[in-house]
Amino acid sequence: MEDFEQVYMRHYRSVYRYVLGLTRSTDEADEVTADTFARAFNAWPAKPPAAGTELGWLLLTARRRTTDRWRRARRLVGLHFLREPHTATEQNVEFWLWFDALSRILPARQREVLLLRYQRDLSDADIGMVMGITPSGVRSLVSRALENLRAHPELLA
Amino acid sequence: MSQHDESELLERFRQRLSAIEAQVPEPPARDFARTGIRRRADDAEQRRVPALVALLASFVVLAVVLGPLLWGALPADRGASPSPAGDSAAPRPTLVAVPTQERPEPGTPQGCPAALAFGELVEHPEWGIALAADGQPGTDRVLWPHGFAGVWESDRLALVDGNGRAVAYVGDQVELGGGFIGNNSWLACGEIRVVAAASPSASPPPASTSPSPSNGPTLAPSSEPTAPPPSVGNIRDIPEGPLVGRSHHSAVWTGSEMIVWGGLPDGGEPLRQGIPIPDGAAYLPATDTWRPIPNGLLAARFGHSAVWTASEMIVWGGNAGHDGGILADGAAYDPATDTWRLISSGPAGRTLHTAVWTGTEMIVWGGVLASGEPRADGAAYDPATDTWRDLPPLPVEPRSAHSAVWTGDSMIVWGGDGPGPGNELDDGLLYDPTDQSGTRIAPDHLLRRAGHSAVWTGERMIVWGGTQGRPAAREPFSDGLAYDPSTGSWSMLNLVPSPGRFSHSAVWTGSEMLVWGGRTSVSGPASADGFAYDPEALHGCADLVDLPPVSDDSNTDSANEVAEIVFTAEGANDQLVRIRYTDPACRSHSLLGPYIEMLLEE
Repeated sequence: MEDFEQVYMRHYRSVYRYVLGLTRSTDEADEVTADTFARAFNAWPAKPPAAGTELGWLLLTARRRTTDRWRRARRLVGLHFLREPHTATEQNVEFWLWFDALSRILPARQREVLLLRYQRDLSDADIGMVMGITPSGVRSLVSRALENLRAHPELLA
Repeated sequence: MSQHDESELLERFRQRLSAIEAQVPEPPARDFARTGIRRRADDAEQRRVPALVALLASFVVLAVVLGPLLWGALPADRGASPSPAGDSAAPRPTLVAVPTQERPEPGTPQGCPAALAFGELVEHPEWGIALAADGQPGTDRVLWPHGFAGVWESDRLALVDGNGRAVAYVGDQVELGGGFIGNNSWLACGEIRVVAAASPSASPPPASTSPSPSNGPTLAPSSEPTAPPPSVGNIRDIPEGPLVGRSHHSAVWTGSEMIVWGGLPDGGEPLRQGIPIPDGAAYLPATDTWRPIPNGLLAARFGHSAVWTASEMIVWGGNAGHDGGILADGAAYDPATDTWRLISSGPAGRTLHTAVWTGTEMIVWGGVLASGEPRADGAAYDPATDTWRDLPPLPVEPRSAHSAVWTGDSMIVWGGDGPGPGNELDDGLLYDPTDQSGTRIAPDHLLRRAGHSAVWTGERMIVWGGTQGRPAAREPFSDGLAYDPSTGSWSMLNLVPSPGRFSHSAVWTGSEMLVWGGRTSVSGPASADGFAYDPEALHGCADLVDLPPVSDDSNTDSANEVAEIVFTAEGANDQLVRIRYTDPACRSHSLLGPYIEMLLEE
């Protein structure tokens, strides 16, 4: 399993960062990221992803795991399966205030596509696979997100 | 915006987002070959266990002492106050109605009491599955989450979640998050963890996303829940196919397969931000498999309609999304040749309309125009001549996101969004195209909904799912109702629980209703799964039950053992409350009870 260990070391932070951006919770990011690699570890021998697509595959798994948790939390009306969003500390409060402001400007999918675009080694096709849209849909979504950001230059100051 | 501008903006965004790196840890060291992976949270849980045990005992004591004061300070004269455990020999479950003003508000930190209860799950003749709390005499009634049920698996009674997955079994030692409301009624609104299974063979799959604190699971392959959720009662799961999750798509039944096409994937307010999907696939129940279909000649769209003419699927209208606007074109797909052909242009483009096939014509009705105006008129398309003719407005309120079925001689329209926000309709229309007459179906307050589905079984119209409430607060319905036009009466489906959804699709195969896709909230994920409902699979239990009377009283009851009691608490923020309870004779299919579901208007 040496190969998988390399994949784990190389992509752990990318998966964690993506989930953290989706959930805004380090607890959630901890658990979903661990769960994602656990599933990947189990599935790797039978169904290894094609070379070069490991990160997209992991992010898709992470997205599904996040969605599962989100669905479960939503379905259980009044329940708190999801923890409170990020708990601000002195170190990160500024970032999350900015992220909250960003969230008021950008719809969830536009935020997500930029979060994935942050990852420089993901192609449009990779991002499309994760988000379930076509590469042209990715470009369109990015374009709309940036258009929205352009109207709020204070967010990029 | 030029590509250069985009690149620059993206780079500035990256720089701003890079502050997140301070919160992204390095990967914890793991030896995969020897030990597998253990969740970081599990490690933390294990470290917390000794302290947790002590804390839990304190929590339980505090919850017992303070719970009734904090959460269950219910008036002593409230008619629906729960009875203490074991003190009633009534043959039917005692209903519990929790006044909404005393109910925790969902979605807030205060929404769920923070206490934990430990104990053994036990079967209870009145309450389905109850909790014999550690150190407490008798058993506690548990108000289980919406969608949970008790299902017999051989000789074991399983507690299953809304996906039909076993969460725990009677006999298991569990930890239940939540708190007391009233006397001995535990609101199970926190996490549910199996601390110790009744027996090794009775260990459920890890349906909960939470780790077991006592075992510190390593997520070995054997514990991976790779098997699909089991079929329960009259519900069979449809396997996932090649399509991504979507809503506002179309589906038709060809006689052998269900063809799903178009729709809107996750996220966004549909009418303003959607990027529709141009693909489709067909599900074959006979083989329980999917096959993709070609994308065809039409632009991607959602909120369109589709009918099956006995040889072709005709798709018309809809919304092309952010830039494309409301569409007035259509095309026909022939599965025999796997090809598409365009049809002539129809009336003004519209979306969220309905279409039915009369045997000779496709009747398009209702929906909204590009201006956002809902309509009560329509048009009929004759594929033999490739021509359209206008239909006059019908004597019913304009609407969109409604349902329509063809009974063989009439079209039944039901529900939908009327003019103005938050205006779901609770009436319908029986339309006879031969003399263009329409008879209004009387409104029923319980059936107010939009984004639902409807199918015609040959005898009844089954309405399932849907939603109501302001867009931001919409929650899905998971109930089904049947309308018999010969008697003008409604009944309720005796369905096992399933996650509610709206803006999904449903078709009738002749023996089953196939439900697929849809949403559980406006901005949330769209489903890529579905289920088949077979009313004949109840094995002696009624597939339909009488609709309980409507009441604003919180003590609504019914003579039916198998029933969902639904009532509205008008005036209290226009809240809708539902209560279901167990039918002992049909318990293998019935819902646990009582439980509560609450829909809140913002």
